[in-house]
Amino acid sequence: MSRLKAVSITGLSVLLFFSTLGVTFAQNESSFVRAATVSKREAVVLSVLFPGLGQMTVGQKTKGVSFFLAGVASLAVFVNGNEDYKTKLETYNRDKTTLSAMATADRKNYEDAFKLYTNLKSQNKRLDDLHSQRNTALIVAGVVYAYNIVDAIFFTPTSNESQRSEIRKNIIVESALVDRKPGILVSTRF
Amino acid sequence: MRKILLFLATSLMITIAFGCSKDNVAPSFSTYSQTKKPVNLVATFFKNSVAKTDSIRLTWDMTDTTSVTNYLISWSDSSNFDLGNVREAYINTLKTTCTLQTTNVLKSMGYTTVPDTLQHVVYFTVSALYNNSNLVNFVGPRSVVDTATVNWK
Repeated sequence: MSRLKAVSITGLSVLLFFSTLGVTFAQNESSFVRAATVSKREAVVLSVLFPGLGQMTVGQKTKGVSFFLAGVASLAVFVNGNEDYKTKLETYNRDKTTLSAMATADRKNYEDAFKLYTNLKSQNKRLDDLHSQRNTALIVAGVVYAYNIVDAIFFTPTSNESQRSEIRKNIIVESALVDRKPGILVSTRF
Repeated sequence: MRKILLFLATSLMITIAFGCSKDNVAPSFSTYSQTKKPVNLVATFFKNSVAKTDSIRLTWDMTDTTSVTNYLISWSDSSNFDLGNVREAYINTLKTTCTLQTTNVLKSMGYTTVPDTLQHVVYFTVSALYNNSNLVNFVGPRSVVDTATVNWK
């Protein structure tokens, strides 16, 4: 396995691992979880649109940002790798055609053919690396996306009426005397 | 947590398995690998003071002459080779010997007068020319270089 392949696989795996850690910590830390102001369905729809959006909307910022970054990074690596792969594959196929044509082109020689063949072999190796990098990034992006949806469906807190009423319960309205004059005191607890 | 780790481990394994597969075909050199190079090339300078027709005689061996139609002789010296100049001549027979006129060889490399050095080293190689259904006038691999030392006087 080449160095590039190893680095890309390790990097994306680490990214995925940290995104998972983010999920775990976010679930454990109640400070990150605030009362949701959107429904669960809305959160799922947002997560379907892009990883992490749903989680961020319901207040699970660490988890949401982790998914978002993992999604952006893996997609960026995939798009870049795919473009690079396609360009290099075009050059490779053209050179391969040239190598085949040398056999029937008049007065071509073995040394030139061998030079081109050696060059093609190194191009082929580079293409293998790019192919692996591209596939890895694509699969990581898929896994992040899938897990993000699973998380949005099963681990995202529900925002139902009871939660909304709970928010309303925290707002206290009572009568009070202010400067010896009767009035209404509105207080809220965060 | 255990389920999450199991899910991620499986995903990672699938990633590595798919990521390491290849879809581009490796290049092939089989068409050209059937060509052989001539062996035992010997270049010898013959001085002929009387007729002033000095010559260089080349001999070589070619065990497998399948699809070989003729040979290509290439020569150069250190000055010309540094400039990327190599002279060539096709021998239109299947004989494995060839005699070249020294004057012609030197003239082809740009020497019309006697240089400061009385001796001149010329490097020779021979390649077989292939012609069959796969190869059209394809110049095969070069033989090992041999030298002929030309005495000017």
